[in-house]
Amino acid sequence: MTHLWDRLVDAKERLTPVQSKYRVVFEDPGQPDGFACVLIPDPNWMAAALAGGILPPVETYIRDRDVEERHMRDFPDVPFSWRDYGGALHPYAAPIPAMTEEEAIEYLIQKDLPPRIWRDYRGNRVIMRIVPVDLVPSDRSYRNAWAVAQNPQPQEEAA
Amino acid sequence: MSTLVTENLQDSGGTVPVATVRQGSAKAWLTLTGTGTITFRDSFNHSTVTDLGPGTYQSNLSTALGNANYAMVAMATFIGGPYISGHNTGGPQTSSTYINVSSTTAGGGVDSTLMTSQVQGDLA
Repeated sequence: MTHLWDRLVDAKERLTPVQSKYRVVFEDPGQPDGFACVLIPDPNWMAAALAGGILPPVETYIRDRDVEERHMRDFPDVPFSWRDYGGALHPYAAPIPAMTEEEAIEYLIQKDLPPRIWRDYRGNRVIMRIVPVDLVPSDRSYRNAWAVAQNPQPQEEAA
Repeated sequence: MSTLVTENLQDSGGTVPVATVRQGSAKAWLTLTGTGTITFRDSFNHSTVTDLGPGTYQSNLSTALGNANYAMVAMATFIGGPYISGHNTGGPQTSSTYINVSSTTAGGGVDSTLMTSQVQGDLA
């Protein structure tokens, strides 16, 4: 199986980047006084996701993250190396077929956000939303005050 | 896609092992617009960037690095004064990097009009 990095090299050569029309806005329940963060998809990654045959299953990333986090928790003074754990799963895992953009966003949430945000949270507050990019403010003057809307206004439908 | 199997590359200046080319290549890089709507300008081996607040970004890699001993370089510009870009003191992880941009005059994190980073190291 070709290494994922080499597949990405090939993909960058032949695929046109795709700017996603979505962002993921989230709050970290581990930082209740913090402000909202925004997950921004990479256009080259999105193109690979839409093309298919390049990216590994998201489960491989979840497993690899668990391995690394367990090492950092159990051996905080020992630098982490994949060589000590027999290598990571995701570089050589068989690639998955093409995804829709919505499926790709869900993939990114599982890959790049901690499970405490998308899987383990049991509170009453809405802490994560997938929103159109136009709903993320471009005026960052009050960036430290951003929060996930709890009762968003419905968007007007186009005429 | 065709495959060329070789151990050395050669030009008029001599031969270079393929391993040297691979080790010398940046394993990930990105260029980001850090003001207004945060967007990628271009990149390689990234899946997402997380906007963590003013001048603070987490870049998430598609292919992880082999260990925590990679080298990272980041630069940033912003209109209005000097800048500093640095690495989060929380410690590197093999699948993501942190970038903080701050100002020597304003203090604290500041958004940059252009932010770039590059990572060198072994792949997982």
